[in-house]
Amino acid sequence: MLERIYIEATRSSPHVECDPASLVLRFVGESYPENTFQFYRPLIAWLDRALAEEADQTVTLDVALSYLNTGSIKSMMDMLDRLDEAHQDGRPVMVLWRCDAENERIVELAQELLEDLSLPHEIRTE
Amino acid sequence: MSERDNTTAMRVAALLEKVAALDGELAREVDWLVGRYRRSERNLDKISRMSDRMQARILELNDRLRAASLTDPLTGLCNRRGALDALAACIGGDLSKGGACMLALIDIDHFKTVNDTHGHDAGDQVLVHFAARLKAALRPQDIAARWGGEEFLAMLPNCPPDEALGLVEGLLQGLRNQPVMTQAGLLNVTASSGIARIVVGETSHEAALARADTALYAAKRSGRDRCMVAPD
Repeated sequence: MLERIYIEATRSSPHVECDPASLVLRFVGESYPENTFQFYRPLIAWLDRALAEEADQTVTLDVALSYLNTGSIKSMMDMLDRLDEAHQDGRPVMVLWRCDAENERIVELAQELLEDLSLPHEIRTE
Repeated sequence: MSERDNTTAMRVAALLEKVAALDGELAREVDWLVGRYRRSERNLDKISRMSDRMQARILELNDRLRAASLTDPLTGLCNRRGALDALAACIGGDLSKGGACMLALIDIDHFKTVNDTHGHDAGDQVLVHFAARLKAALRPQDIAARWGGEEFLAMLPNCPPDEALGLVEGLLQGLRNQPVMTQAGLLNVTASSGIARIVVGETSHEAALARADTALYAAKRSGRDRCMVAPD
């Protein structure tokens, strides 16, 4: 059974929600936690389990991060690769990246991360 | 591509050729593995590029931060720290080439009264206007700094003493002739100044500054609104 994950934001790490009902994995805030890979490991594991279950329900990655350190970028890449593979296997997935229109750097980052992928995605400037 | 990357690519290609002739499932497995490997390489390249951009941005922000730390936010002139840097450079540079560096301390007369009578906003406007006039009176190679509350320092590298005196007196005369516009109306402002030369052989600015300060004090004592030159 997939569990619910709820992590409150800190100064250096994002608010995280993993919802087993909607299969949405949500990030809000800034991401430069002290042990970045340690922070993301259980979340990537959750994503793996979500992709393995409920083959008909869309798994969604919803990212509203305004800053990512390098480790966070790598972790995002790992999650996007998994979603892309699942998509190529015929599994429904969705990536939504929410950007502040005035934050050029994050818009650029989102575009770069998503450019080689075949999965359905949206960069939404707000 | 490097020698090593080239070799790897060649070996991957050779392996794929052999695999194509092999059993279907094995071929698929190799295909999958190669796909993962290629994706990994692509991600590494991307991350390197992003990291380079981040580092360039950090360097740029550092430069801006450094410049801001040396600038007086009200007048836009160097602040005291910036002035000290410039003084050290002046001593290190010009004097070793045999030039004369002149220092002028300029203090606005009765500034406290301006603040008390017309308010601090008007006082700030006087400082801003004065700073602009000081900059305009100096040569391009000279440095103007806000040394204290209402005290300014001008550094004139490679400047004959007569010329320095002329420049400062021109500034003071300009003040006499043209009152400063503030939100409290036109204010008559004057300033006093002490000028000193950094003597060849001096290893620090302190002695010359002390001489300029003494001359400034003498100018104040003898009636203000004038410039006095310290003997070497």
